[in-house]
Formats: sequence, structure tokens, C-alpha cells
Amino acid sequence: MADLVTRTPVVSARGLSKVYGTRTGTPVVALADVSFDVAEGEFVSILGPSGCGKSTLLRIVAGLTGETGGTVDINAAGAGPGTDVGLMFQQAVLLPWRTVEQNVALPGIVAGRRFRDVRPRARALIEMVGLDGFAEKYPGELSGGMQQRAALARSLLQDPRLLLLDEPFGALDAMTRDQMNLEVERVRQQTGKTILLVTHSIAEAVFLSDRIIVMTGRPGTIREIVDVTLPRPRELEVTGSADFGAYTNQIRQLLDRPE
Amino acid sequence: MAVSEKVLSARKLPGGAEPAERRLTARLWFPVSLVLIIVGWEVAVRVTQVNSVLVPTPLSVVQSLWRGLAQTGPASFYPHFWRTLQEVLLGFGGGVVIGLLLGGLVAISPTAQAIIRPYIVMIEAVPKIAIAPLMVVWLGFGIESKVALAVLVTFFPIFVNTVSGMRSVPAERLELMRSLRAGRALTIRLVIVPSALPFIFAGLEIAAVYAVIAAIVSEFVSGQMGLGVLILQANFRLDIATVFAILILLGLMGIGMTKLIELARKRIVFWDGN
Repeated sequence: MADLVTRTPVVSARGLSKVYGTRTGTPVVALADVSFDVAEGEFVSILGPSGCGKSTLLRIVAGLTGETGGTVDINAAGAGPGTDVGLMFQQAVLLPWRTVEQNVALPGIVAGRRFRDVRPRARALIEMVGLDGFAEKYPGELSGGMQQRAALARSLLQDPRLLLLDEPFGALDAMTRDQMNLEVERVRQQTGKTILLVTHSIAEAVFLSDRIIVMTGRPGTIREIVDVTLPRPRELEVTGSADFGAYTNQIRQLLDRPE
Repeated sequence: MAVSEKVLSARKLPGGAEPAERRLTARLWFPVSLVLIIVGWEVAVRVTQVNSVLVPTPLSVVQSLWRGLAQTGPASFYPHFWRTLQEVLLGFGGGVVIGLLLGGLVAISPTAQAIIRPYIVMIEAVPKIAIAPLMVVWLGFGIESKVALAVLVTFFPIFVNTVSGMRSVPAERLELMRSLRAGRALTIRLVIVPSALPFIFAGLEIAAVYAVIAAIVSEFVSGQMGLGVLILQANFRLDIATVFAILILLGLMGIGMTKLIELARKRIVFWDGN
């Protein structure tokens, strides 16, 4: 993986910190001195317990929250949401009055394109995430997993260079979650996207990632960055392998180890 | 489709009647009890010797209703019904338009909020019905004073619901638009207004009822025409059966408006559960 790091990073974070003011007056340090790179085509996960600032970190990269200190560069063009970044949240956040294809087309509509121009691409993505036949259904008619598939398709619509996934499958049941992980792995293979994932599932992080940023809180700091060299493409069978078990054990120990 | 079939079959609970049967029984309760009440009423008035002028039998109410609807001329219900309906619809329409405009303005502009809100709260504290005599002084005995009161009364539920609907958009929807770098105008059009529609429809249903109340009260105060005037006249004549007949007409007017709004809601806000 060493050769990946030498290329121009898609995300470059240096000394990021985030301090929240609280009602009682004592500021809470959510992030302290976080630095990392994500290379082109790389899959990086940010893993840690709840409250370790990992979602804050992703929101800073997405430009949804300001940083208190440090810098983050995306394509060396500065952080900020836009067509270069596709975002997926914990909830699918589909607009219930728009059909699946209208929801998937939303980033194009916002960018000023007409629905009929975006529609073919929306349709193709809907098929790619396995929702064929559901393009004209409304979100209310879809299960939680199907809604997240639609959200995944929506995040890909503008063909972003970088995909940011904020615990996107945390609300799904274990089996649906496995399916969605396979889906993401498949999308990664097909599109070669650079992906940054926030998760608290060790298995999910190991299954999907090239590198895992293991965080501890509070304040949120990087404990260690673990390279995952499991061969690709990965199928669910890999989760039963000895190597997979070794990675999950290593990471669990990192998380359990006291400061 | 497999998904919806699963949902349907899951609804069949073991050990109970089929849902269709149960729904039919539930639907029968109302007409059956209504007939029983009406028959009981008729019998009670005849048997107990109460003054049947003061407490009319259902039969005489129906006769009054029929007389009022069948005849032409000044005693006919139609011109009065039409007049009241006009007041209600004009007042409702005006209140809805003003309520939506001001509500939308207050919801999206902090400046408008700072200027308009205190006045709204002040006016809201006054019972609008109490302004009815003032409306007559300002606008006369004609239809204008009735419409004005109906506008004033219907405006509030629309205004309040528009503001709170546009304010209570789920945060993650706004975040989604922000992540797509959507501008303010686009966010309002694509997310905020549709998200507020369920609230606005709830406001419309309240406003329709208020509009009828406002029209009748203004007619009581200064009316020359309308169902409110008819009620007063019949009351003076101690023609209580006619009073009841007009109450039925007013009820039908209210139900008609509520049903129309509900119909529109089901078409427009189809995604909203209830």
C-alpha cells in the first residue's frame, strides 16, 4: 500500500482540532491534532467508540462543520461540500414526496440540471445498487436497506471524486448490513472511488478498508492507523478467514488498551 | 409486489375476525346508533308531554328542512345558504392567502419575524369574535364586514401552522441540501415548503371550521341575510324546528368543506401517514 501514499492525496488533514463550547462554560475537546491522508482510489475507515469525535471529523472533511484548528484539503482545493464530494448519512434522508429516481437525481437538480437530463444516469445508478423496478416508487414503500441503497445511488450521481460515508448502515439489521457492505465493496470495484467511511463496527471496517484510522476519545485522537492487506475483491467468506480474525483482534486490543 | 403482500398478510391477526368483517361492523355502529337516537328522541317527545314547540320532534325538523328547501321566495333557505357560503368561502380564501404569505415571510426572514411577530401575538390575544361589532361600524351591514371577520379568524391557524411547519423541517433534510450546496431559494422550494405541507393542511381544516363560526356570529351581530339571520328569526318566532333544520345545513356545510380539504390533503400530501 506504500505506493498509494506517494500519490497526490484526495484528502489531506493536518493537525485538525475541534472544540465545542458548552453551557457550563467548560469547553469540550472533540478532536485534538488529527492528521491523515486519503490517497486516490483508497478506502479508509475511521473507527472508534461513540463520542470519539469520528463523526465530527467526517463532518469537517465534508465542510458541514468548521474546524477549530488545523487544515483539511480536498484535491488541494479546500474542504467543502459540492459536486466533488458525495455524502451518505446515518439515515437515508430521502424526500418522501419524491420518487426514488427523483431522489437519486436530486444532486443534479440542485446543480441546475433538468430532471430529464439527469434521469438516465439516475436510472443506471438505481440499477447498479440493485433497486431495479423501484425507480418510480416512493421512499415510504421501501425497506430501510433499500432506502440506504437509494441514498448510495444519490451520493454517486454527480460522479464525485470522494465518497464520505457517515455510519451509513448503523441503523440496519446485521444481515442487511452485510449486504450493504458487499454493495459498497462492489461499487468501489466498479467505480474505483476514493471512500472515507466512519463506523463503529470493527468487522465492517476490516472488510471494506485499505487502511483503518483507529481513534480513541476524549479528546478524539488517532491511536493508530492499521493497513489491511486482505486480497481484493472481497466476498463475505473473507470474514471467516484467519487473517480477518487477526485484524479484528488487533484492532479490538488497540481500542481496549488504556491510554 | 412481494413487499406489500407481506405487509398485508402480517395484518391478519390470529384468533380474531377478518379485518374486512371487523371494519364493516365498526362502520355499522354509527348509522345504527343514529337511528336509535332519532327514534328514541321522537318517542320521548311524544310520550313525555314536553312542549313540542320548545323541543321539536325529529319529524318536524325534517318537515321544516323540507319546507325551507322546497319553497321559493323569502322563506326559502337557498339565498341565505348561498350568502353564508359566500362569506365563508371568501373569508376562508382571504385568510388562507394572507396566512400563507405572512407565515412564509416570517418563517424565512428574521427581520420580518422581528417586525410582524409581536403584532400577531397581540392580535392573537384578543378574541376575534369580539371585533365583529367593530367590523360593522367600519365596513357596514353588508357582506364585507362578515368576510373581514372570517378572514381575520381563519388567518391565524394558517399563519401559525405555516410558520411552525416551515420551522420544524427535520434537520437532516436541511443538512442534505447543505451538503449538496443548494442555495436558500432552492432549499425552500425543494425541501422547506413540501415539509411544511402536512402542517398547513392541519391549519386549513381548523380554519374551515373557524370561517363558518365567524360568518354566523357576524350575521348574528348585523346580518340582513344568511343562515345566521334565519336562525335568529326562527328563534324569535319560537320556530325551534327551523332552528334545528338550519343547524343541520350548517353542519353539512362544515362537513363538506372539511371533506374537500381532506380529499386535497390525501392527494397532495400523499406521503404523510395520517
